[in-house]
Amino acid sequence: MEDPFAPLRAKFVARCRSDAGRLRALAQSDPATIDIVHRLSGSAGTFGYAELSKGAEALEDALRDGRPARNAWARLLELLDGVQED
Amino acid sequence: MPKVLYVDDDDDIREIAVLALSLDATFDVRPCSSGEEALAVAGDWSPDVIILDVMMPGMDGPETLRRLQEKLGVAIPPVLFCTARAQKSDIERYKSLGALGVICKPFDPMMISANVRRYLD
Repeated sequence: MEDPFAPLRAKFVARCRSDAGRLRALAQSDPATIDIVHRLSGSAGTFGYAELSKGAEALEDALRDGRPARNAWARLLELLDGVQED
Repeated sequence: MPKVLYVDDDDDIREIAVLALSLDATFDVRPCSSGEEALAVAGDWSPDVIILDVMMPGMDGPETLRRLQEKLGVAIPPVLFCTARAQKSDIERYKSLGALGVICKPFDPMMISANVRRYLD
C-alpha cells in the first residue's frame, strides 16, 4: 500500500538539506538559528526522524539556556547531513 | 462531520497533520498558518475543535486562545495546544489558560485522529 505521507516526507528531507546550509551560514546567536532548530525539534520526529528531533531539542535547550552549544551544534549538522528518505 | 481547525506556522508539520486528519474521512479539516488567520476563520466556520501551535511568531498559541475566548465566549469549542514543550508544569499552565488538552510534538501522524477524537463530544 502506498505511503500517503511519502511526498511530504520527501519535501521534509529537501528542507533538511536547505536547513543544514542555512545553519552553516548563520551565527548561533542569530534569531533565525533558534527558529530553524525549534521547528526541527517539533517536526522531525513526526516525519520519522527521532534522533534528529532529539538533536534539535538538545541544541535548542542549550541555546535558550545560554549554555555552550558547540557539540550539540556539530551533532545536529551531522544528523541533518545524514537524513535520507527511507 | 466534526470540523477541526489546525493552526501552525510550520508548513511541514501543518501539512502532515492536516493530511493525517483528512485521512480520517469523518473529519473536515481546515488549516491556518497564524493565530490571526485562526481568529478570522473561527467565527464563521464554527470548528468543533481547535488545535493551536504554542510557539508561533506574532500571535502565539496562548494569545490566540485568549482572543478566541474573547471573540467566541461560551461558544468556544475545545482547544488543544500542540507543542514540543510539554513538561507537567507546561501542561498545567496550558490548562489553566483554558486549553482542554495537549498534543505533544513530535506526534505520530497515524495517532493524531484518535487523539483529537477524545476531545469531541
